[in-house]
Amino acid sequence: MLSINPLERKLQLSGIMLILGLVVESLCLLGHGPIAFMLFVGLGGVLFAVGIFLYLYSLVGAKVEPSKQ
Amino acid sequence: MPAFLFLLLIAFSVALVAVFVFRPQITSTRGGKMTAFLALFALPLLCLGMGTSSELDHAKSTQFCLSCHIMEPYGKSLRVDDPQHLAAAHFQNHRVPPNEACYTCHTNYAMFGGIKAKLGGLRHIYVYYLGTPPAPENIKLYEPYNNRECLHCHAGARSFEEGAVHTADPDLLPALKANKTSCISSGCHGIVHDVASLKDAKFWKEATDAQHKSP
Repeated sequence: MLSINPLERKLQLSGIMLILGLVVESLCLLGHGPIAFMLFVGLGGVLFAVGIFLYLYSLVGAKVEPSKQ
Repeated sequence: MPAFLFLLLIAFSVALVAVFVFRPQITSTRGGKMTAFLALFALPLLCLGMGTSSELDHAKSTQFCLSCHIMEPYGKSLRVDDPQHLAAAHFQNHRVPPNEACYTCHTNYAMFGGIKAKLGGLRHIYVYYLGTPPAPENIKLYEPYNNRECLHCHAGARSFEEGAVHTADPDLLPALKANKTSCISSGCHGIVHDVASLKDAKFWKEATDAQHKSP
């Protein structure tokens, strides 16, 4: 399923992390009590951070296409 | 924001991100790059910010505080049918918001009071789940209750400034305002939660909507 292109692979991994983070967030919002809060901050926060970091890293690592003259 | 709309936003974000998971080649075009920025950066950040705000708001609720078993007696103490019980009198007469009763009184009103309350809450979770929690009646405040938390609402109020008991001794009001004499000292407003004597207490039963409507 993951692309062989390194940039696209990073974007896919970033997307997977963000989807997992969003799912954790929605489940925690439906829950009550401190465990839901801790899961949101701990697990959800980490997944979001990894996903966004991967996306930004993919931007930094992307090769610039030569402009056509 | 209503919870339903927020969940809808999360679902939309998931759908948009899924497009880039299954079709990452979309980002080869300029429009695709811009949409990727929205889907993989802006929207998730927005959801994270709104979710954090919602969770922090929920963490202030009375329901949240009382969700831990150890807090059950303190929740019961809010319904004691005795006006001498400070917490019960405040809760039942809506002198504090009933849905944020605990947070209203147990947060420092100083600059970082809210943050300190949240950090204290993390410590409570650690002790409750990983440590040895004390018996409910042995739970103590970290430091003596500061009159500032009472005066936040009561300072300037007629019943406080001109009350017969408060004005009987001319030195009392200045001492209260300077936190030299505690509002909850014995003989004054000393009965707060009093969880140790709950088994002998009478409890107030809040009228239901059906009772309100019947003649």
